[in-house]
Amino acid sequence: MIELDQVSKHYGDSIAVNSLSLTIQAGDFCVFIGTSGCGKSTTLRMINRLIEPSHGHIRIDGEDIAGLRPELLRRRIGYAIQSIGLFPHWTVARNIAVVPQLLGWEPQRIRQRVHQLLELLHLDPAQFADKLPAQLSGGQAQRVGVARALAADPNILLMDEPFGALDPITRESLQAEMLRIQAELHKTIVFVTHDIDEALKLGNRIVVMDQGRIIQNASPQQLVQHPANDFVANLIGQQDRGLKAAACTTVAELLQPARMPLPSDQPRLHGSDSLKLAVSQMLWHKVDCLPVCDDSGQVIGELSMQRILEQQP
Amino acid sequence: MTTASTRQWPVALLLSLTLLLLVTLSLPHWHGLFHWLQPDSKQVIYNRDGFFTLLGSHLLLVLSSGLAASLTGIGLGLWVTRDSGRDFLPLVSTLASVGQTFPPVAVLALAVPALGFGFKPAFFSLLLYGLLPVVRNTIAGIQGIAPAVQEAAQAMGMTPWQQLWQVELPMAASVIMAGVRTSLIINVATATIGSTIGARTLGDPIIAGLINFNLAYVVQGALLVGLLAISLDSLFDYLGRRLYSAAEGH
Repeated sequence: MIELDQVSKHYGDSIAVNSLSLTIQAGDFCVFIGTSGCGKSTTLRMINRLIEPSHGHIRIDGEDIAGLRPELLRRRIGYAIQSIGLFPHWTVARNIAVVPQLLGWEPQRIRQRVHQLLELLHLDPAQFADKLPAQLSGGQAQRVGVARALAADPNILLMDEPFGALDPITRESLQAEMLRIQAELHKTIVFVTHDIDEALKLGNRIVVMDQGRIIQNASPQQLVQHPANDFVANLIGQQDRGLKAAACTTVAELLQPARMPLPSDQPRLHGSDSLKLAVSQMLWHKVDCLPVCDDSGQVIGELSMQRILEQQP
Repeated sequence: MTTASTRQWPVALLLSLTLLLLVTLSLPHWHGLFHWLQPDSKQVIYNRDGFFTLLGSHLLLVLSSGLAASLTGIGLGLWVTRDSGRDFLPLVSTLASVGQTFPPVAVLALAVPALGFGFKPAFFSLLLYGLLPVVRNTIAGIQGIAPAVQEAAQAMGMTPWQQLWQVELPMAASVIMAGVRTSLIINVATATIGSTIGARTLGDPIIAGLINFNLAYVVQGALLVGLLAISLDSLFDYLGRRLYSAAEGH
């Protein structure tokens, strides 16, 4: 659990973060969103003391971090940024091993951990462990960056627009990886972005910031359906908020029992797909009902346009 | 490709070192050549000191001042790129650039009143003069590291010392070494002027030759200084490539 208590950051006369209070529960995927200069990155970087707050307190699991040695604090917190910052003179394996090495792990344990992380991020250890960062593509490098952040199994992960510089396809696949990793590892993640779609897709808690203050702190559904003011409404986008809302709900939440055998040549939805994807599929295939299957391909129910319309407020 | 080239023999280095040794040893026997160069002179081989002695003391002067300059220069460059010394960065950086435009003779001339004649003032002025490229390259090397890498090193939980030893120095090493190399090569040449203030160097035959209109002496000194500079340069070239491939992790 991370608690920010009346935290401010001043640079001379300008105020980057203005008396901000926020509690992030353990296991939350909390996304800070706002325009550039709204203080979201500053807030993130105060959590691992890359920036010291001017006023206020930050507590992690009840402990005030101002009393900890910054190095020891940072070794407990994973950190990934847009520009990645891999150490260019070290191999991928050595890059991932940096925090375990600082913590003095046994070489054998480090090797196993690096192997495990490369596999978790879908990088073949035999192929990638000995490569240098310069030999990686942008997407591969950011996978290594995420692996490095996860290396010492920290409870907290700070991510500052980690996928902002990637092409849309690579970004989507890494976003999917993050959701999978989070479902598996249950970290407390603080994630900064300026991309509302990314925020709605990844976060289970979204903190909208402007001029160093929190404008709204809500779940994705609440945010889309009840934006606190015009700023938030504009951020979400007035025109396509129906689709934005649909992107926040999964097919599994509206699953109905299959009423009749559906033709097997129809496309199928998965329980984890969003309603947005379901609507898109229905539009494309010109049908108003699609079968839903589980991971093994077994049909577990169906979803109709009627049902979606009933559920949308 | 990198592995192949580092495993190769350092041909240029071995060749230039062998040539330097051979010439130093055999120079006193090259009467024929120098008589042809300086036919009106009875004495054509410089004999106030052995060439080996001169080479040795020249090398001692260059290496000792070079070592001192490198240590001080790297130290200074690192200090002004730390938080504690960052206020001095513009000053040191400007001094290092402007100082280079100062002629070495002027530095020598200024050192004499303070330190007298002989090894000491020569050592001191070479140190000062050799400091500049090292400082400049150390600053450039550290500043050349991507800010994201510095930030990552800090955010991973490295202490300032660990950041310096594990990230900054290895990444800046090749640029810093290039500064040391420039500094030493310049000082191999500059040290010859040390002879004018009584330091015993390979400049002795050159100065003696200039005073006595003896071209043979000048050529003997210049030949050895040139070969020494080439040898040192090849040595650094070799070390630099070793360092580069070590930094690459092979």
